[in-house]
Amino acid sequence: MVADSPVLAGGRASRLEDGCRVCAAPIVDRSTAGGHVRVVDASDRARTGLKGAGVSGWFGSLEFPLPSGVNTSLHTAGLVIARLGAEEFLVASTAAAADRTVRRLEVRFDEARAGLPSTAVRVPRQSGSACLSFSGAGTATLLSRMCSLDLGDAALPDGAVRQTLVAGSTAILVRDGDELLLFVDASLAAWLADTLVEVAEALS
Amino acid sequence: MSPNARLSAPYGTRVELGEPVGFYFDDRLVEGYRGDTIASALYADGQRFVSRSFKYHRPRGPLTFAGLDGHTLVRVGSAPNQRADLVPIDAGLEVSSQNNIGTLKYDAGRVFDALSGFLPVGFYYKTFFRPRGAWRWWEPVIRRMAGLGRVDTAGHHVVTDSAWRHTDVAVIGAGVAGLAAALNAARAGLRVTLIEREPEPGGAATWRRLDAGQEATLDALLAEVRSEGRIEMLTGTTCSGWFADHHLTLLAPAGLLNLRARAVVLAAGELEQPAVFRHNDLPGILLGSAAQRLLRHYAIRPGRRAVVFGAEDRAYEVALDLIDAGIEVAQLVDTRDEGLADAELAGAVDRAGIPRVCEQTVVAAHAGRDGSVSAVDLGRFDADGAPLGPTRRIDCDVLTVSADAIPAAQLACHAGARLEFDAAIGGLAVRMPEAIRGARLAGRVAGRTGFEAARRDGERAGVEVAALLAGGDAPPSSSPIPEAVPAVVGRTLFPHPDGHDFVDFDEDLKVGDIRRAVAEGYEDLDLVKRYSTVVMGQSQGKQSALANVRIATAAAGRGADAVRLTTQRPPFFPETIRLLAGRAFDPVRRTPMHRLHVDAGAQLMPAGHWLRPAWYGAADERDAAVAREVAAVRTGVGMIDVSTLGKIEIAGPDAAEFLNRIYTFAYLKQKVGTTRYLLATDETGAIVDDGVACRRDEDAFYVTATTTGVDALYRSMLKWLVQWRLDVTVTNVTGAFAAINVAGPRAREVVAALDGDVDLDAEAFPYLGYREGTVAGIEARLARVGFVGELGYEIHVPSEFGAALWERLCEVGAEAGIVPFGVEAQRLLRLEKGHLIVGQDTDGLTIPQHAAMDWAVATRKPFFVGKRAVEVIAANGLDRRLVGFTMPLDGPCPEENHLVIANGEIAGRVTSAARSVATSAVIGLAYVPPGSATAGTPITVRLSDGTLITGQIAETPFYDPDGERQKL
Repeated sequence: MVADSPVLAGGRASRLEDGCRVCAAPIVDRSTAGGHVRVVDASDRARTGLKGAGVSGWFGSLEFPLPSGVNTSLHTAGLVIARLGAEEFLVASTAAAADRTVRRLEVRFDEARAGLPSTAVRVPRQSGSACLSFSGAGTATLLSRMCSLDLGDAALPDGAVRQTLVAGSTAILVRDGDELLLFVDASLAAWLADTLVEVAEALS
Repeated sequence: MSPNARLSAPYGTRVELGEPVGFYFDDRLVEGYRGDTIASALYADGQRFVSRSFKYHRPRGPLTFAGLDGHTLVRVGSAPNQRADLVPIDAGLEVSSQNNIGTLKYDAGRVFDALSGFLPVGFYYKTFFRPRGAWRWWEPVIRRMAGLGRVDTAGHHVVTDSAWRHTDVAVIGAGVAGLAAALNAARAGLRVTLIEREPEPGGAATWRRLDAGQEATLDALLAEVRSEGRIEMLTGTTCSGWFADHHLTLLAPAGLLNLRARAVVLAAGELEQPAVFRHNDLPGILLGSAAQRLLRHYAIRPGRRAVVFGAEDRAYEVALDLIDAGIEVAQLVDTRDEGLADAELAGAVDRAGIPRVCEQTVVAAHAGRDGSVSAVDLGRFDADGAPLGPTRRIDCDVLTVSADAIPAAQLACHAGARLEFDAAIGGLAVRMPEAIRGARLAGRVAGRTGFEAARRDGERAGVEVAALLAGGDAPPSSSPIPEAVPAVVGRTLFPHPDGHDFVDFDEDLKVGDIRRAVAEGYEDLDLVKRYSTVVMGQSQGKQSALANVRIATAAAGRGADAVRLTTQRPPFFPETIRLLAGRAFDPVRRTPMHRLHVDAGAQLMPAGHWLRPAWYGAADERDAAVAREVAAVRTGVGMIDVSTLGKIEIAGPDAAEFLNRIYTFAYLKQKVGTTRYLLATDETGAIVDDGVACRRDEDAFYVTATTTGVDALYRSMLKWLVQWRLDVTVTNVTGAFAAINVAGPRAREVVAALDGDVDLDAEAFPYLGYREGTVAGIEARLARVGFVGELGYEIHVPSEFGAALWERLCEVGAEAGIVPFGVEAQRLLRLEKGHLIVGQDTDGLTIPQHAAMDWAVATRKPFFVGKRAVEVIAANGLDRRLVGFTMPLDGPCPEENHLVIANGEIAGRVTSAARSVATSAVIGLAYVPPGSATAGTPITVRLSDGTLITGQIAETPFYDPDGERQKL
């Protein structure tokens, strides 16, 4: 991207209700029947995706540890690295300081592409998805109204990844410590936020 | 009877006798106590008659006091068909009777009972279709009479969320067996969900006659279960279905729960059955268990003078319970031979001074002035159960019936079990296939009768599922489990020559009805069910299934070993549509420019899950707005948000080969930096999608797909990729890119004003070209497309820059008069070019040749999905062809799916039509027979009002036939 573009200067502040991001106030922050739950739009955190034959080899050659199993993740240096397939990764920063790491990773991948199989591609997760962060004891109860998977602490321990449907929408769930990160198509984010508010209200 | 005339503790475990509660029944104030149900409060108040039966409008009162029969359906507030023996009373609650013509007491519908002799089973099927046309008269009459209760159509919409829960072991039924199973599974470290439909745990032990040792055991079990942290107890929750992989649907007070369990123990107990005799449906005739529930749950005496009727030992327990509660038992009638009763119970009854007769039956019951039972006739019976010899009349105000019981096995049957006759026990037994891993039965449903046998059987089931989930075998039980003991049950069917011997109370079906169905040839049980509607009513055969199969099997001349029940299907208990509907998750996708469209006054329309601008302007100014937008594109410049287009990246050495197989056209030789049309067919040859392939480099394509078709197409691509094992990565990036099509003669100058680094010159970037670069400082992908038939640039940028790019285009395009246009204008513009829309101008049987897209099929390549089907269909001769047609601009305009008529017959249909100012005609696309597809041939279309209008087949494109404008 060209960061000094006049368009960027005036246009980057797109909003969740536009189908993009970022919503400053918490989407949900209330006590529910299952406990308190807080949902915030974490879409401003950097994230990217790598996919295709050769990706795991290249990624593994960098300084990052990689999760060994599909549908697992690990937390390292302010990043969550989720393995979505044998040769597919989602990398997301969990703190502003790690955003640069993600960007640097993208640059390094682009620079290395000539030496990689042409099937190895970068997936535009930043553009394509929104990221919602759930925290609080009521998270599993809230999501139990929208998702058929068991999202309790025992079934979804730290590092677990689920690729599933939430409220009928394709989503990726990553347990990162006390946070549950939900990645959903950016165009669905505004609707999903509205739906979360409605369901949380009904649970209160 | 006053509500104050209740028994004292320990009777009345559910009611707070210090807390009177008043409610209204048919506008009459009734007083009960906190904890009462509507039915118990009414019964205590002397009102036993609470509803009218479905067909004959006979008086009905509670039968089970457990919500298992259809006798107690009332309207509560605006909600019809509520079971009065389940709904707790509350102050001011308004309850009314239903299914009567007039009032509950004076119901004109009662005439049907008098005429019942003329309304046998099958009457409806044989009567109302004659004479010809009679059905038109009868239908509204029957519709008015059909159904129970009235839905409140003025009610407001209520959303009830459903939820998913997960557990290791689900135990259905918190009776003694269920409690023991739950406890033993939890002790093994498993999470247990214990489901009980009653308000409290304990099951039958909460109302049956227990000795002191059994009471102590129950108390200890309950205490242990309550202190066991791994057990979650859900009371007041009914399991209504047991589906594959142990998915249970639970009707909980808060809504529908979907429970996923690793193992399930069914300990649902049994269902007590009524006996069949004349007038066995009168209010005041209770199952023995119902009388015991009245005593122990609600502290209500079932009557003052009782006759206890039974065919098994539990009748003796009921008689003793009634005597203990101070009720006169005028007679105990046992249909069995003398000596078959349990000697201990018989001795206790005799010592209590209860008159007892054996080998006799209740021949008939009689109603008093209030419609409730007032007397019964007792007498002997012959081998068929028919009355034999004189009868003896005994006055009573309550008759309890303890005839038989069947395992409550409906849920097990949902999971795949069968309920079959077991000669060893002389009754029905549940057969649970071993293949249903993790399913166990416990207690009465497994044939274990008696308190201790049920408890031990529950322990066994809990230990077994724990071992199973741990991957091992169950350890041997510390104490032997009693074998299933055959119950000594006497005769329970006593057909009466004068009828009114009801088999199915819900449907008012009598013994004669079932026999008639069999006599008319419907010998199979499922046919008897469908012909007579037996077991199809509110209680779904819970009180009628056993009697029905016995009667039908005997009538068909089969033996007892042929007895089986009809198929049991979910739900076990009625579910409201509200619960099933839950919250509808219908995702809505918004483009990155959504807010800008709304601010610009766009009228939004759904396109799949997306919201798209239909046009910009007032809702009632559609035609003017569309005309304005079309004119801008044709004469100046317009822009449309096409972010909703599907977008898929295909990368790898086999990318071109992959496209070559997925799509009908040829892509191996497509040049880098160009676009090419895409047309996809499925295995049947039917068109399923179209789009554009942009070749980014030798190994990478960026392809677009239709807004509504991309998800299915992407899934299909992944499926084929697995089969073909090509070296390709396929990624759906639909949401990652915003896209804007800038179209019109002045499009180039507007795009150029964005200050990008792509050379827009016509030679450097010709029609059908593809370029990557920056526009307005944003990385962008640009394609020269011609969907609307003008010079056009489709600009794709990362979605977060979509809104900014849109705003920037508004700014730089202002001088050129740029106008945003919506889907309606785009549809007209593409129609003028003769471009089809997949799904609108095609259907599920349309192959490319039907749609006149032969040019998009590369017949020489060896394979594409659907190629074989396309070739076969085309070789056999096409039966239709998509053609253009024109009609006068000042005449009527056909609509989609108006029929094409030829020689008075349907010859095709219109798929698209619109008024086109640019071509000065009404233009459209329609399917016609191939022989009528030549330009200039007349075409006749029938409008909605039947008017026939005529035009002529025309060549497409209608506008700029040589495509000069899009190649500028």
